[in-house]
Amino acid sequence: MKFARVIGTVVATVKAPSFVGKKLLILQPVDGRGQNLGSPIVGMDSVGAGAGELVLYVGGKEASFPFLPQEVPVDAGIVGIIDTIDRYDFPAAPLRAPENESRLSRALSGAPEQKIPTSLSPSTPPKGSLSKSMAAALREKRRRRRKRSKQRRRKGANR
Amino acid sequence: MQIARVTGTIVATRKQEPMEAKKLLLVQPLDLEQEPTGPEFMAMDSVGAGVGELVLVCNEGGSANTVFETTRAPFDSVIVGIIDAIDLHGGGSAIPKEFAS
Repeated sequence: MKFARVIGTVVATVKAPSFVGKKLLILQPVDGRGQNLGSPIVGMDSVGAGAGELVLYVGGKEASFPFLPQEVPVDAGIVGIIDTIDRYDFPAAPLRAPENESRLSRALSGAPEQKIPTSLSPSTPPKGSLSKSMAAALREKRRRRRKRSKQRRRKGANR
Repeated sequence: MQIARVTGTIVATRKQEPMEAKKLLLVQPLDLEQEPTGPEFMAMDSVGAGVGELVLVCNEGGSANTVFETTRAPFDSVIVGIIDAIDLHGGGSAIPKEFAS
């Protein structure tokens, strides 16, 4: 769902029969900061939105759902009036370290492709490279899981 | 589905009835480099996502209706997952920034 500001109304005398009694509003799409995005569109109101209000609208097939059971041919349906948007501005992304360059940019610069191992990488180590203590921990974990499921089965049998 | 970051919360008293008692979040779509792509929009939460998290957003009305078990409800964007990690084959950069130093 996208945001828009109501900047006007539309009056049409000759229109689709299902449009009778519906309010058509001119919407200026805006982003989360209230900055204008592209050119205005016409939307149909279902919540009683008025001039200057920040609204939520849906496009596509869903635009006509607020008016069910009537099937209304609209592109944008207004489905909510926004009271507040609380934005949390995150600090700018840190400068990318060389190992964080994308594969494409590396290929473009002609640098040889190499995977630089980082301790932060969440990828799992290849098979057979588990350290002894890790393997023992894994075995222990599996053993406990088996025990738990056995207990659960026994409980189920008692019932 | 697309990758996005939750950047805020939205309050709307007057809204369509199927949207009542749902969490409305402001999300910023991101590319694989986690740079913003396109404007922010509103998505409804179905997994308990919070501000600052990297999430998966479905932008289809059909899937939104599936998630909330409604029929023909007027919403389209829904958060369907919280991303733990993204692993790009070939050593990309797309690990969530909160994990990167």
